[in-house]
Parts: sequence; structure tokens; C-alpha cells
Amino acid sequence: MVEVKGLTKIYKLSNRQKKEMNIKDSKKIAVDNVSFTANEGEIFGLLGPNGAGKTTTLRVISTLLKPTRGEVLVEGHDTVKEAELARADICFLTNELKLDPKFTPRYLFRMFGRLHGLSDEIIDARQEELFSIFGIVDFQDKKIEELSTGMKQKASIAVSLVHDPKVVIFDEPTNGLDIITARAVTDYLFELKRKGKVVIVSTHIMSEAQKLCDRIGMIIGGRNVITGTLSEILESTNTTDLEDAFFAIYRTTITNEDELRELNDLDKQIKLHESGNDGEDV
Amino acid sequence: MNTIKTIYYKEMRRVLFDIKMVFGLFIMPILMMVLIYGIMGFMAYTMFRDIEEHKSSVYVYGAPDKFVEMLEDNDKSGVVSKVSDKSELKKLKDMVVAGDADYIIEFPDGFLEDVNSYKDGDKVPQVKTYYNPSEDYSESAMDKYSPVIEDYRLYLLEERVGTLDAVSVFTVDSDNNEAKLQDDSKAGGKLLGMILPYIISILLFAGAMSLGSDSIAGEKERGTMATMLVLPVKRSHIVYGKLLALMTLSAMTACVYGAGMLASIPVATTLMSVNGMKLSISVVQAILLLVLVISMVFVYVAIVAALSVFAKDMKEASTYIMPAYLVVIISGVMTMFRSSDTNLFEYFIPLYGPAMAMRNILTQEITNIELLFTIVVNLIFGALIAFVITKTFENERVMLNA
Repeated sequence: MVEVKGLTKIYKLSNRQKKEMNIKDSKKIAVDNVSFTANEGEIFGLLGPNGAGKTTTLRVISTLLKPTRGEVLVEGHDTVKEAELARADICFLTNELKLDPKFTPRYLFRMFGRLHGLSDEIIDARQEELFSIFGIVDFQDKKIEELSTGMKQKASIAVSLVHDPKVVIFDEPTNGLDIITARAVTDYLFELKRKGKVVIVSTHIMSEAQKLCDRIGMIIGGRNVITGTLSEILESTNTTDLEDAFFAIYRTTITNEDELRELNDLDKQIKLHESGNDGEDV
Repeated sequence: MNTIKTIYYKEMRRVLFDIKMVFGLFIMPILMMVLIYGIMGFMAYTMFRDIEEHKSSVYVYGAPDKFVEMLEDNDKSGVVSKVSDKSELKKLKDMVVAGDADYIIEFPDGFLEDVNSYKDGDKVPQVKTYYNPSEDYSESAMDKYSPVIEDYRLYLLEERVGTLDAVSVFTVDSDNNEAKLQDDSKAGGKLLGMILPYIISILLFAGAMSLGSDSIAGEKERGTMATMLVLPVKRSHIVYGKLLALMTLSAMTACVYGAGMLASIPVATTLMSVNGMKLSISVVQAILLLVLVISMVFVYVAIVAALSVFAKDMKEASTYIMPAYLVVIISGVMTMFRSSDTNLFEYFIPLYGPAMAMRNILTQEITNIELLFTIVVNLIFGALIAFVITKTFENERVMLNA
């Protein structure tokens, strides 16, 4: 089980970062008092637009970042006080975490297995299973730098799962993948759920979340605006699909005038398009 | 311990299984050294042989026949030309300046008469010579022919006084072959002590620099460091594994460079004209140097790693490391021009102290205690930096730019 309790993460910005982001404040609240629980045998989805705080939340769960306030427990282990124990139960896959391009999937799988403290026999068995599921055998001895994006993603998933973790965290798992590889990944997420793992995925693709997730937590502007099953969210927003539900919540949440104006303009465009005019007539 | 070993093997494998890196780190420098020393040796040999084979053109004005005969006997290959017109001397001097003539010897008019009719109080005739020190041929001609003038002077003196013993009063080292009491190996050590600390320091640091920035800043840049950080291993184990691998690889590069340099000592001896000096290192010196170099590698690797940790990418790491590299170069240069005894506290100065200790091992001017101090200080300094790196690995702002 993963328990996120009142998680707040505030970044201190350097002068260079302030200049790059064009802001004067030297602090940026990335995640603001977020709480949720992800249970065994379910896929929990973190939904939100880019920059909402999804990745920061996942990075805190995976112990890469420390919470400014609040706490996160992974299988009962505090991610700050018992970071190593928490990491032992986690698999964290994100685009920012890469495999060394100079090594082959087979070598990396063995190396990461050893770093997880596994015996060579267990590593061999896991390799056989995972390389077969993701079709890695054909390119297991090729260097990562020689692989396509899809092959790299498959290798990353296999390597991250070497220790058969209890908690699987995938940040944008199908981002940049072709339809076949994306399907292989989502199928495996269902398989992990069936095995009783805690699966947490973050995505901004609503259709993917609707299909994958048992429960969903929406994060907008760093805040956890709603958490529940798909039907609970649709019911509370009086909508029929997750995308409409998201926009309904988004509209009531955003305070930034520019974003609000942008959203209203988008609505006008859609209405004009539906009534037979395109945007050029406006 | 297993974690450190796995990280160590991974780092070693990354370099040693990469043909480009092996070539760049181990083969290229040797090829460069062989090429550079080979070209230098060949050029020097060609130059010396060319000067040796050159037929010197010597012009003499007003010289007695006996002197000309002595000149021609001195070097059969040279061409001695007699000049009868004094006005030609101006033109000949211009030729010496231009490198077209090598040596001019001018006797005063009526030289032999003046010598033969000499009485007390008379003015002693003066023989003038002209050569061009910036021209190798001219300088070589001067070296070859000027002793003939001295021989001729003694010949005339002997004719005047009968025997030279009466006017010599005493001689200096005329049959003393042991005048030079130098310890050849110490003299050679002094020369090596001038060059080696500087070269070894910069080569060690250069090796650590390229490897260290790739291993730490390169991992951050490639996104593979974060992958390591989500593993259930102690950050300190990642640091130790990396530092040990970097130390091994840096020491390997230093050994390769060292072997290249030792192989080039014969060429260096020829080039520096240090015949008589023994350019070699004793077994004891080699062992002491090895122990010292290992502790230096530890410090250099730790410095490079510490600076790389704070860099976002390899380019930024190079910018941070460059000032430290300059300090190493300056420390090496300072040991080259130091003649006074080394104070004990100097061995405590990081970077400079070890370079000085290395020099003093070669010149046999360091005690065991002083060397021990240097090594212990080095190890403590390196350990402190390693501790800082370990702590920095815990810092999310530094490691993940968060």
C-alpha cells in the first residue's frame, strides 16, 4: 500500500531558474497538501495537465525527493526515515530515468538484479520471464544506444521490474510509444494488478486513464482536486466521460485569468466548429 | 560490499569495453608520445648529423703558413680559404651574419715580425675571430677551430722560450681523471625530480578529469544517475564504487603514460645532453613513488568527482574542474624551481605537498617520516572530500536539479 498524507513540496528557485520561469518569487509550490492511498491489486491513476505536480508526487513516493511537509509511506516504510526499505519495494519508471546507452539490456538486467541483492538464479528466472513478455530476447545483446525508442522503453520496464517489486510506479508509461508497444505496456500493468501489486500511473491522456485505472486522483495546480473511482468522478461532475469531467473540474479550479481566457476561447472554437463554421470565419 | 563491487565493475566495464574510450585513454597517448619523441629524436639526430657533416668554410687573413697548415690538419673536411685583401673582410663578416660563411680569423699585418721581434713593453699582437652564435654551422666551426689558435699560441711560445714548463708555473687537473665527484644517480634524480613531479601530476589529474566528469556529471546528463538513486542501496556505496573504479582507471592511465615516458628516457638523455648522469629510478624509489602516487590518485579523483557532482553536465563539470587543474599545474611548476630544503609544513599543503614529496623522493631528500606524513595527509584530505561527495549525493537539489 502507498499512503500519501498531506504531501507538500516546495522548490527553492535559483536566480537562473527564476529568470527562466520569468517569476520573481524564489519559491514554487509544486505539490500542495496532496493525500491519497493506492492499494494492492489496483491501478491508481494520477491525472492532470503538464506541470500539475504529478511527476513531483511520484518522485517523492520513489524517495528521489523529500517532502517539504506531510509524509509518504510505502508498504509502511516512511520514504524519508526508511528510504532504502521503501526503495526495495518500489519500481519507478519515468522518461527522466534512463539506462546507460553503453550497456546491453542483458548486462543491465543482471547488474540491477545484483544491486537489488538478488541471486544469479533468481535473476536468470526473472530475465527469462520478463524478456519473453516484452520481446526483448532478440535485442538483449545490443547496446541501448542502438535500440529504437520502443525497444528502450521495453528494456527499461524489464530492468525496473527485475526485483518483482510490490509497488510499481509508471510516469507517463506509454508516452512516445507506438501503438503495439503501448498495448504491451498496458497489458502488463493489468497483469501486475492481477498479481496483487500496487500500481500507480500518471498520465494526461484521459482515454488511457479511463481504460486503465480503478481509482483516479486529479491534480491541478499542485492540488488534489478529486479522488475516486471513474463512476464516482463522473457522478460528482455530472459528465459522461473522464475528459469532460476533467474540464468541468478544471474550470472550477483554475484561478489564473490567462488560463481561463484560453479555456473560454477553446470552448468558442468548439461551438463554432460544431455549428458548421470554422475558426477562420470568426 | 557487494554493492560497491557491482558499481565498481560497472564503471570499469563502461570504460574498458568501449573501444573508443580505450583508444582515447590508453593507446592514443602512447601513440602521441612515441610519435612526438620519435619525431624529436629523429629531428635532433638529423640536426646533429647535419652539423657534423657540414664542411665548415673558414676564412683567414694574414695567417702564417704554419697556422694554416695546423688548421687544415685539425679538420680535413673543412675548407680553409686565405684572404689576401683586407677590404674583403667586411664582405665576409656580412656573409657570416647571413650564414654563408662560418668563421673568420684575422691576424694583424706583420704578425710574425711583431712576434719574433717582441721585447718587454711592446704591444702584444691581437688575433681577432668572428663567428655567428645564432648559426649552428658557425658555432660548430668556432668550437672546432678556436682550439687551433690556442695550440698555435703555445707553439709560438715554445719557440720563444724553449720549453713551456718554465712558464707554466702549475697545471690544473692535467692528469686528474677524478675531478668530477658527482653521484651520477643523484644528479640524474635531480633532473628527473625537476621534470617528473610536474609531468606525473598533470597526467594523473588529466586522466582523472576525463574519467571523473564522465562518471558523475556524464551520468547526470544522460539521466542514468537518477536510475541508480532509486535503487535500495546506500548512496555512499555508489560513491565508493565509483571512486574506486576511477582510482583504478586513473592509475592505469598514469601507468601507461609512465611506461611511455620511461621508454623515452634514452631519447630524452640524448636530447638533453646529460651523458654521465644516470637517468634511472631505484626499486626503493619506485615503491615509494607508487605508494605516494596511489594516495595522489585518490585525492585527484575525489576532487574531480566532488566538482563533477555539482555540475549539471560534462561541459559544466569541465568549467568547474579547470581551476583545480591549474592549481595542480602550478604546484608542479613550483617544484621544478625549488632549490632550498623543504619545510615539514609544506608536505601538509594539499596538491603541492605530494608533488614536492615526489621530487624529494627522486632527489633522495625526504625522510620516511616526512613521506608518511604526506601520504596520511593525502588520505585524510581525500577521505574528507569523499565524505562531502556522499553527503552531496543525498542532496536532491544537486543530484536532480530539483
